[in-house]
Amino acid sequence: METRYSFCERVLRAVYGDQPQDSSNITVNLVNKWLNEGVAIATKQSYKENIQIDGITYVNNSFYTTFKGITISQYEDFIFQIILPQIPLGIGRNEGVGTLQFVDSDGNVSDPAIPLSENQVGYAQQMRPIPNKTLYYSEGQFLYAISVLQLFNYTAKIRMISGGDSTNLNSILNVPDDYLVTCTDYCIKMLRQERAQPRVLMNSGEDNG
Amino acid sequence: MYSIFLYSLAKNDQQGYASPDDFNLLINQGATSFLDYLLGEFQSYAYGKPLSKVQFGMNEQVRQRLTPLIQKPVPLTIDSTGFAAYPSDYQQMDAMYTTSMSRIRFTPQHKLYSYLNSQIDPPETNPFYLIVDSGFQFYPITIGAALLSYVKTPPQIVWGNNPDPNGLPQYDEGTSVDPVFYDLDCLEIIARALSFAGLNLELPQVEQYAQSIIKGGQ
Repeated sequence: METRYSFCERVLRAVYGDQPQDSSNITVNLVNKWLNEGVAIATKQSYKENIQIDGITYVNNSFYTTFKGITISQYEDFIFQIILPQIPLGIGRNEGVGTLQFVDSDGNVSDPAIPLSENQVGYAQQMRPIPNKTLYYSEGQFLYAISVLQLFNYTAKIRMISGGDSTNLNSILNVPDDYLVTCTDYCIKMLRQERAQPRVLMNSGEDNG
Repeated sequence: MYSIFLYSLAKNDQQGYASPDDFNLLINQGATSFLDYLLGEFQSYAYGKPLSKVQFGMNEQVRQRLTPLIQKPVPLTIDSTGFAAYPSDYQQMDAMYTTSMSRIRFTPQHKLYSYLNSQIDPPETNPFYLIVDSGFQFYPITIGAALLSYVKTPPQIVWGNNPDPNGLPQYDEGTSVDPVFYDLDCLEIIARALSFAGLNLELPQVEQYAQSIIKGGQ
């Protein structure tokens, strides 16, 4: 296990072959941005290999992260919006997030809500409601929960494929070591490409030209 | 240093003489010239590359020679516009940090727009500075404090003296200031001072000797 910062530092050293200088253009934050794509590629790689090896489509639990305390706001009548920490990966057949639960102010957690696929959203409301169940669907960065309850009085707890909290460099990078190498290769390749671009030495004003 | 300087110039005081004032003038020019050499003279840049034969921090040895002049990190006073004046003995930047030892990066003026509007490295969490005419301009302007390590101006070398009863100058330790450079480097400084003196006295041998030391080493 390592933190995002540690990963970024490792990539920087590989790219520069040294500790980067003060004026270095490739920063920890920049590596962190590339890392998000690296995690996605690693996850996709895992998905494809699982099909090849096991013959079934799944993504290993190691790639999942639980996010708690996400606020819920009212979007329309009976529809409540949840903003996800990242856009869910578009791997294979999935409904965006693994599980969605609601937590009240006393910490009581509901049963998981029922996900709807893209076309189920269209006809689900014409069907008889499932007793005591909340339906939801995802669109890009958002989840929409369909409920007659005032859901904004609750917070959301979700479980989804994610490399962890990309905004917190001290958080653990949530990728198993056997697929971390895919992230490393991707980040180093892209950043070496940036570094290898010919630079205009004139008027750069920087010591490393 | 004065004795060696005088010895090099004047054989039995017949060929040339440099007064203590001459020495004080020339030796300090020699020290400045040597500092310029260690920091990286533009004249010696390789074609197409901004790299001198010798330049600041090129390796541990060059850096070691300059250590008497490398100021330990000092706090800078930054005003509400983000400006901090150069220290009075400032010669060249070495490093700039925040007080929590995060980096403050240098940027040239023509990249100000890109750095100021960066969403990946916003200035609030990734401060930077510009070098302007009389100091540093920091962004974000509310940064408040910074630590600066820099190369200082060498203190003036003085061969202090008092006249003896015959009017000849005698060394006075009280009013003298020794060079801060290491002993190893004193010949480098003397050679540079001799170059000026040789020019002034029109002594080609001195000039030739000085140039051979400067260019070829001893």
